[in-house]
Amino acid sequence: MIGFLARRNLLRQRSRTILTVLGLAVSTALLYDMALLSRGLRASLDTVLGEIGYELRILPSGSLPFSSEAALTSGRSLAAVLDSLPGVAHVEPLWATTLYLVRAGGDAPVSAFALGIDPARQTLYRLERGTAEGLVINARVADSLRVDVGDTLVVAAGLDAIGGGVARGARQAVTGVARVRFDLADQRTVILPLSGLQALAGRSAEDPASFLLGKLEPGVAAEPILRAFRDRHPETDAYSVADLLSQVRGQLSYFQQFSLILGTVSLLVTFLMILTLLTLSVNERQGEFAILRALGLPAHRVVQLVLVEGLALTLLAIGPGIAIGTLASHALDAILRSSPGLPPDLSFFVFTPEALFSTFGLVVVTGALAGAYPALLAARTDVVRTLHQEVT
Amino acid sequence: MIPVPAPAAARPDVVVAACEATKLYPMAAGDVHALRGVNLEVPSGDYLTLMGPSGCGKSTLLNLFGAVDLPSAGTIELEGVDTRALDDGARTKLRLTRVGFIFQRFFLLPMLTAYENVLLPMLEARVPKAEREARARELLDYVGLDARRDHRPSQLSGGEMQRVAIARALSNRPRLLLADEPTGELDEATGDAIARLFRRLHGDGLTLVLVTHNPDLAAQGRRTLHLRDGRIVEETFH
Repeated sequence: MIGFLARRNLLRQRSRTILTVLGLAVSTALLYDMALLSRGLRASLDTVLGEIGYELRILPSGSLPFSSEAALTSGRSLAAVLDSLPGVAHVEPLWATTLYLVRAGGDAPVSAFALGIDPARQTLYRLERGTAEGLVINARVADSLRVDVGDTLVVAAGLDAIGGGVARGARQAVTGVARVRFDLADQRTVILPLSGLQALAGRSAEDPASFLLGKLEPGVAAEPILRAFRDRHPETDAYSVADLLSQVRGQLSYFQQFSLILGTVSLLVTFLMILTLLTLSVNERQGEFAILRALGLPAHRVVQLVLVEGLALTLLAIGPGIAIGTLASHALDAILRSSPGLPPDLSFFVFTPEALFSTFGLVVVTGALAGAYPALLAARTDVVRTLHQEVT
Repeated sequence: MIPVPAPAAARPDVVVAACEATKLYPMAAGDVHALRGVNLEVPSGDYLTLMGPSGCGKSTLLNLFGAVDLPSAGTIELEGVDTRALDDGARTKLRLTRVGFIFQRFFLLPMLTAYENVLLPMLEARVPKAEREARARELLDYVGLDARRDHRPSQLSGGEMQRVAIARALSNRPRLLLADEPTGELDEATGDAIARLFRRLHGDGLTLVLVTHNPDLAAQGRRTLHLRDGRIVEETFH
């Protein structure tokens, strides 16, 4: 009966109900977007790092991956040490530097981020065409130099200071085109076998590595292995991906604070909208509540009626709210991802079941709380006085 | 014919009784005595009308009889149960199942049809679906409004609304029907039709207590009590 009465009451003033639901949908959309934002970048990082699939990182002390030119020396030896520890399945050294590229017989050289990695381990890139055994380029290099698989580039680690061309360049055939993880927008990237890149840069003897990726055997904990490695090589920083993520999360706290503040504002708006509408409605309907009480409806049923009306408004708003929020998040994500210096694989607004459920739960709880005061007002209707006033 | 339920009290002949019933409303300007020590018994099948000037305590007595309000002193026994001994929930249930209320301004719920307004108390009393639907149709037929069952109150005349209100008041088969100025908002002809309906209900065995300013309506009852300043000052038998 309560549901039936609540439905009729909401339908009685359709325009007011529709406008309220629209308002609630907008505040729900904002809340949903803030829930997506608060978890989005973290979830996006989790996904990307999860796809890479290596749980350990060994870095030069005080650096983050690719954050500086700092490099580990004797990368392969360090990799062998890590690889020898029980529970480690595989270790992959990587080195990144800058290379200069010019189309064979052609134009002015362009710089590119160069990544040296075992061609058999395509962990940081996805080959789109061709093979990994040789010079792999990203789409931006292909576009800017108008080359594709089979074309030849002159590749060098430095520029000729006098002529402006490349210094001691080597001719390399492009063997593949790949999409590279963590590429910034418009970043030119080439990938070479690690030994080839070191040789090209004249640093084979030094065997530099920007960092080591370590894969654990299933079920093995990272911390004892990292501790053992740190004991042997205290000049390095040894992290698990979970450690790195927690560090990054600290740096992302800005987004969480931002989303917390705006999410709270949207909840407050939701609360006030429902509270205002229901309080107005209850005040207008005091006579009806008095009648219902006089006819034999207990006070707790009147409370139920008002609470159900509040909940119905929120439930009606959740669907459109999530839809509006989803559309808005796509638009906002596109704007944020177009900022310079951001890898295209990262997203700010990422769908997670937690975001959906927390939005649903918060809006429903807010609706119920906002309905509590008007419900109490309705239940406290003085039947005798109200009926007397209604007559006079 | 409307079935009248069996009495629930130890004294089956008395539906409602007031014993030294007093009602006092504390006001900033001074307490208002709406009722002063009223003693009264309404036996089963009685048709009692209450008359008197405005503010004499008629509606207050009706509210006490219907367990909508409680006496400040003295007792009201509804079917032998002292209403002051009941909590709000028990009094509410008593109103739902044993008492029917009719108001001067009908007080139908505007968003419900005539049929749904009649159904409402039965929904709350959890009357089985088939039974409540049949009873609602039967009651609307009884008050002559079966053809207008799907009309909302805004689509009905004053007399029709009052007839729906009567059908609603009868829906849970009350033992006592209380009506506060039931013809006060109606023209003479419509008021007469409503009065005939009350006579018919009384003829069917229902106990009625009516507050009215209309001497003709009062005269059709078995007896009339005249109130003044919260006291019964005269009783007339018809």
